[in-house]
Amino acid sequence: MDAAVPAGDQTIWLDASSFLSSVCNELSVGELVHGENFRLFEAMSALEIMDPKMDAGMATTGFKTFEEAIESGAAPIELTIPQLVDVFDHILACEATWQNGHALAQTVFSCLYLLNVDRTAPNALLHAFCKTTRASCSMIRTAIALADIHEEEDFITMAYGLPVEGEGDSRCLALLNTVEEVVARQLRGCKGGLSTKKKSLEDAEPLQDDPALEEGYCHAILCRLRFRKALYHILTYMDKPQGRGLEMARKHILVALSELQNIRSSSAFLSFGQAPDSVVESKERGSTASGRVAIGFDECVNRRLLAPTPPRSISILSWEDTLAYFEKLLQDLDRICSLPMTLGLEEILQFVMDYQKLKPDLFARARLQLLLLHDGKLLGRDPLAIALVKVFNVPQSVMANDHQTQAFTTQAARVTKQLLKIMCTNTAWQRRKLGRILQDWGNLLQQSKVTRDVSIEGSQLGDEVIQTENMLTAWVAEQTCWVVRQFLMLGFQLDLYSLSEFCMVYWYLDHVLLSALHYKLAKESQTTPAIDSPDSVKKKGKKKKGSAALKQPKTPKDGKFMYSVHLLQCYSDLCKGFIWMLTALTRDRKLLHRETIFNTEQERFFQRFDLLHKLMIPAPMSYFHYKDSTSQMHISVKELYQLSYDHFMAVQQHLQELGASAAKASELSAVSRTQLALEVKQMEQVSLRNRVALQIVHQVGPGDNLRVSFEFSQHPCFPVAVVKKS
Amino acid sequence: MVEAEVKEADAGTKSGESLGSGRIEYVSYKDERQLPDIMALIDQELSEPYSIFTYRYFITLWPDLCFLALHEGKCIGTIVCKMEQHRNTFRGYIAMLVVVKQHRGKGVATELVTRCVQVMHDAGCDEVTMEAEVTNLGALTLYGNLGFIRAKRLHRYYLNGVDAYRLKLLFPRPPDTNSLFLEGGYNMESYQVHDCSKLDHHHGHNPHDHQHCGGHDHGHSHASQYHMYS
Repeated sequence: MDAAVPAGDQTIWLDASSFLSSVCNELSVGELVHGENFRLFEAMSALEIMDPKMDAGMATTGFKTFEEAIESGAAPIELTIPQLVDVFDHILACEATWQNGHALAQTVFSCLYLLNVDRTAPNALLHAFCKTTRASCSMIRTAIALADIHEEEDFITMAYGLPVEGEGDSRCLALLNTVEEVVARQLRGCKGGLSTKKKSLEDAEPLQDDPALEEGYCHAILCRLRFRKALYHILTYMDKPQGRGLEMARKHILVALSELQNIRSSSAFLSFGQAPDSVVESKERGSTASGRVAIGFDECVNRRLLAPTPPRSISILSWEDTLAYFEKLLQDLDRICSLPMTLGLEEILQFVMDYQKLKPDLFARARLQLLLLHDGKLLGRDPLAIALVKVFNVPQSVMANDHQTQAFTTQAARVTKQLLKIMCTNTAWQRRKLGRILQDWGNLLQQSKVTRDVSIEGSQLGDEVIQTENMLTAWVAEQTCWVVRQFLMLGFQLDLYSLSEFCMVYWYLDHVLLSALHYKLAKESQTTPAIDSPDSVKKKGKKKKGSAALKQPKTPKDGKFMYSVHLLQCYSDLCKGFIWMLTALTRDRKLLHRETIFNTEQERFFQRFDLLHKLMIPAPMSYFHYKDSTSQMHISVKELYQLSYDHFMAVQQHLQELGASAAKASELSAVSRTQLALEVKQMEQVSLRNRVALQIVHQVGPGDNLRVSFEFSQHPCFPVAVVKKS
Repeated sequence: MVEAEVKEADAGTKSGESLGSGRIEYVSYKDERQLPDIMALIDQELSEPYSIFTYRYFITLWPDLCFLALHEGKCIGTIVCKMEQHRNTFRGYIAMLVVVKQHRGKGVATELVTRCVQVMHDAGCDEVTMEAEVTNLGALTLYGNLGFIRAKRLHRYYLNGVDAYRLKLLFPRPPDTNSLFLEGGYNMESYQVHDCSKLDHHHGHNPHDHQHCGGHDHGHSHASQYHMYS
């Protein structure tokens, strides 16, 4: 107890161990000393110091500080070319790992060269690469922080003292260009054959000693430099607001993809002659093209800069996974760049929904969000309120004079902006957020119905105002249905529903789809929709056996139906197909639902749909309504199978209409178009295979000789029934 | 020492069942002399590290929500829970559940969970919640069989980066004339609503267990350490 931890002026250190022991002995079994403010949070945040499982600083192996590592020669500045390539590769692997949600300190900054980039100045190649890496990571980090959609993914934007930015990083391009030029010249030189040519003074020095390998190494270095450069350009151009840099970004994406291919091809050359080293752990071997462990990395050196949580050991992505990650990232970024800047709000929402189906990673989604909502404006240009006015199609006179319409528009803009932001988050978080904003949409609906000033009634303005009100309410209703539909369907993608819940989910989803259809059809036929009851449409569909009974709309403008209407019809028929199939299979004892001792189906129904019951539109549906609609005791099992079959058959017809109308939909983005084409194929398969399954179960009598299970092998939300002998 | 513990355990609530080789006894937590076993067991089986404070927090405040499964006097399974008011619901929470590998697939976990949930129900909880890894099919089946639904998915919830589900069980509520669920003219009997008063005759042997839980009981962590810090 001395110099190591100095005492203060009026204090000394005393060893209290024996005192504490005797006090402990005074406590009887079960007695505790408990501080009043010591609750759950304190209990669970408590770390036992020096327990390596909890105390990140306690790992006893490895270097304790960066300085110690450098002094021990862990990061030499002079590297052979093969070693340099390994360093480049491992850095890329670290970046990919970092973007997947792991700590900066344990990934990118496990590179000792990046911890002090200035030190690398004598090695031009290393220096240029490191500076550009740091600049790129900084841009990525900033973008993710700005987009603010990363919380749940544990992407830590805090630097905790790591040197994430450096002076003069913006000059990294100049450095890269210089070294690239040198290596390119060297490549030309060694390709030009041997000493038949006169050696000029400008000939670059060979990269390494073996002339036979020179060309290969030049290629390897060059494609990595060019990839690094292209990536940097992409980041810079995509950062320009209002999509001004997207075209240039696309060009660089092409370059990056092509260089990535070259990098991939270099693996054979680089790993040639590498005997697999059984001593080295395979995870470490894996993150370079050569298969060797890269020099200059140490995961532990930053352990004191980690967050105060128990240590996570992470594995850096393998080389294969690294290449795959960047390939996918570039393709995801390319899709963003292909977004037409002229898209309207509805097409943008559709785009985001379709884009998400491709499961883009965090950085891509952050980039998308920044593009869509730069400066709080749609695509960085129109304030959302203005964009909405265009969508609402509100007469100018009303917009200018009606205070309530203006207030509504402002509110709608806020809620829509929130929706767009949520649509860019990862699907798990997205669903939760969508559930939470339903309240806002419900309030918006109320607001759209606010009673107007009596004095304007009867006037021409009054009529316009009333008409506007109906349009606004219809818009909110349709959007709310869209949100609810996304909320319910995401549950399938996230695998939240168990088999015993499918029937009720499809039932409720069908209800929501029909509500959405009601508003869409009314809009299509340019009449003000009946606000109060979409049930008239639904009831027809429920009672009738055979084909889905949706009334044909009035002549739509210029003879083309929005593809979205056909899509909803497909979904609705699929839902109905499943409702009747599941009902029939249960009654037929080919699907068993166990009773659970602590609650019943009614509680689970409530849990699933209580959130939706707070809305007026879509109208809340009760458990008893569900049981009533699906019991159908007067219909035999075989008739139910037939009913289900007919609905799946109807899907086929709607799919054709869908294909035709999609072809005419010029406003669709390329991403949405591709996604739609894919989904059409998936639904065809679902429809077909389920019909086959129905035919099988239809033949067989009731009982336990067949078992039916459901697999989401074709479409993420609509499964295929698989029939097996039990 | 082992003998003494068994005798002490006998003094508490117990019920035994014969499950093939060896008898599994279920006892309620009695005092902190059982704590080292519980901690050792959980520490050994779960990936999330917990400090002694965490154990003391749960077990000291809710001892009747902690059960141990003993085989020949040795603790081979345990469950740690709590219940408290959360906004306007009284909610039970299962923090940790562990069964050693050799005794899995015998319904031990199901029994431990069932006992706790029963206590929560009897104490007036509205619902029970917990988290489980999306890959832990055994746990998901176990809880699904008891009536839990997968309410939410939590992205990369655990220290090892795996997603989790938040599972929730809602207890039936007493009928309420203002509830949305009662519409005039509906005959509840015709929908075969489960009679919840039958719950209090629950005993150790759960007939649902053996059909579907074979090989499924796993140890699994619940509360994610990382999320308690953030």
